[in-house]
Amino acid sequence: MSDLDAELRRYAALSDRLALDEQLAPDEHAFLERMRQRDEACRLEAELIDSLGDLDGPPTEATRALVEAALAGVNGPAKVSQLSARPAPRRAAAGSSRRWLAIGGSLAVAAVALLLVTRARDGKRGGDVGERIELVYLSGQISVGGKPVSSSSQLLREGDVLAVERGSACIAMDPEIDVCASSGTRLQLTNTRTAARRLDLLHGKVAVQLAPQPEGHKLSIVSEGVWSTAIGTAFTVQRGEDRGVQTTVLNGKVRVGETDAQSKLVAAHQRARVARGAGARQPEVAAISRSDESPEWAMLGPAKLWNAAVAATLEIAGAPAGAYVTLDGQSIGIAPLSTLVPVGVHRVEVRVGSEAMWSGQVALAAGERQKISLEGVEISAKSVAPVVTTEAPAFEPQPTKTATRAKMASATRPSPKRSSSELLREAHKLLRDGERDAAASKYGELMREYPASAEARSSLLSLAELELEHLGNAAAALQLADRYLAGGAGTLAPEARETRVRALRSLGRRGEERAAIEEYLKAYPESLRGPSLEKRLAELNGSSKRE
Amino acid sequence: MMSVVTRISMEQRAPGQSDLGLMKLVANGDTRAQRVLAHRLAGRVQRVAHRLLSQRADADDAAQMALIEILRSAESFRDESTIERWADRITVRTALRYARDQRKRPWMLGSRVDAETVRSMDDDSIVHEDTPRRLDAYLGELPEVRREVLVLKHGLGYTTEEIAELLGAPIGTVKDRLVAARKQIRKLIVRELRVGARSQKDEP
Repeated sequence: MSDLDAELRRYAALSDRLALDEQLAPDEHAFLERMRQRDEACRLEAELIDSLGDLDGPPTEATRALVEAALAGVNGPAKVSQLSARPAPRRAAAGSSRRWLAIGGSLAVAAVALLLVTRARDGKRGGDVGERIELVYLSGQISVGGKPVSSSSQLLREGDVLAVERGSACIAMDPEIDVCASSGTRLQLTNTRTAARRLDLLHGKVAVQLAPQPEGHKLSIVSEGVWSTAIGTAFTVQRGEDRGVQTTVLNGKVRVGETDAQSKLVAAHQRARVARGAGARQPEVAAISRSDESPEWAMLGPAKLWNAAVAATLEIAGAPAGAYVTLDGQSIGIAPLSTLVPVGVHRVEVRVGSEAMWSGQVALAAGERQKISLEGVEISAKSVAPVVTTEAPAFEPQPTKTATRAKMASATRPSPKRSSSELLREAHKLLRDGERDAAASKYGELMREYPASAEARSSLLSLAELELEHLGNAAAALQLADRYLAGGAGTLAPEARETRVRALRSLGRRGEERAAIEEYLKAYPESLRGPSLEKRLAELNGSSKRE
Repeated sequence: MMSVVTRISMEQRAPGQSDLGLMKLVANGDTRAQRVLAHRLAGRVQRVAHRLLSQRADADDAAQMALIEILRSAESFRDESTIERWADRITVRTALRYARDQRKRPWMLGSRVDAETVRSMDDDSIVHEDTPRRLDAYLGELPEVRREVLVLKHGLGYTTEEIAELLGAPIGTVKDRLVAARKQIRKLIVRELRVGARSQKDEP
């Protein structure tokens, strides 16, 4: 056992004793502190344990929603349950506690209706509101104020006109208002700074989803003099050339009409139509079917992309007209596309008709903007790599939704001078980010430049992981693991033996797999992986007896 | 006369007497006081629930139940500790009860889906809003019983005896779980540092 191994074992034993409320001697405390300064694993462990106690932080939208829901729960149905008023299909399938939430939601909708009836349309009761309107989703040809826009995460201003020539675009307004505009829509942000916010639908169709708003706040979509006003609901408004103005309510209630006297409260699953022409224009209200509702909800589909707390921006450019993009198997729009997406590793595919033009995994960190340029990529030539550019999170004085969220994570930038350990770290990061080819290349570079280093040796196993887990080449993985083990005892020997087991399993070499497991269990009887390996061994032994 | 609620702003709270006054108002059904208290505690309640429970939807439900319970139990606040500490206890009990109930549900018995499958089914699980990504990822790897002990010990500062009482488990079991959780975290860190992140679907 090396000195470092012995120190790490001592560190683990002492820190566990401390965790179990045991008293340590001053020199033992000093040793723990020294190890945290010296060893990255010890430092990370200490940081992780410390971070468990970070329970205070600034309020988020989710916090505010929780407050409203809890107050509604305590005081009965007179309050609005924000959690349940928003469409949440995942929760609908859950257990009993969610059922009462659903009941609360119905009551909340009634409360919303009551509040709506009592509100004056001009919204004089509300004061100024914090203005943040962000273009969060662009799919197709979009312009703002007559200028083409190709990137999302842009802040808009009062008075701006959003025009969707082709595709769709969505804006997010604080607090928790999503507005999506379909192809052929022109939408003016007429009044966004007061509690009575007003958007004018000049042409086309918009879908709106808003969480119950703070007291005195509301949103109106105005088209041809017809107001559709809500304080917490989901609905669409369409301005048709021949059909007048049509408001479809999906959730909650919306007041629709030219004046208060002529207006009607339209409930969920109803459609109000105000015909064109002079004279009294009373809304005609009729129920609609579920199939009629579906396309309206579909307009709000992209909202799930940016409602995650931590987001990054994904852009797809250079694809031919008609190409559409899927994220993790779900269609998210047509190219060119720029949208916030939850951070993490995603499978992105660009398709033209039934042909996959390009597909690959992208790893997005918080606040990162990743652009996939498909210029010059032929539909039939999937092997041509697209140009992928990544921008680090930007921290601007007036942060966009993305940049604000980026504060939750930090990006590391590679250093120009690279030692073997730096190369290894870079390679690991690429691997974590899903950049497998780049990671493999980096491991190769490390092995070439520092062939005798410990890092080069550990790269053997990283490459084995790549081969086994991602490239499906178990034979190569086995070879690499064997190369590691052939170099004598190393700190990664358990991982190497385990890789052997998995590689042999993938290759269907059951006898050798059995022997490898037995070796592993003998060498590391207290391994966390012991139970699963024993289970597998029992399976192998059972099947060999049957045979 | 200026009410207690008016004096207690979110940012500047007088400790001790003011906290007790606030809790008395909440206990008397003062809706403004309820709102002040709910705003003060909601974030913390959410974070505790999310640390303790691995499924986001469960944690959301437990947080909501806990905050309601806190608002309803204001009468029991005795000013012997801070409101936060008092609320932590209610949140922990509510979340643990919720977790126990979930485990008892018949459809879970014998068919508990493995953690990885659950994670992949939960499209919200990519990031928990109130949990740093690294911490969340590590906690997600722990079996729930180990996760609970780790959070109660290091997140909320309970002694092993207190944890044993909260969980209704022997002290020895609590200690075993705590050491096992720490060991597992340690291994995950070392693995990440040495080999880089890798799929957790690697059980041989």
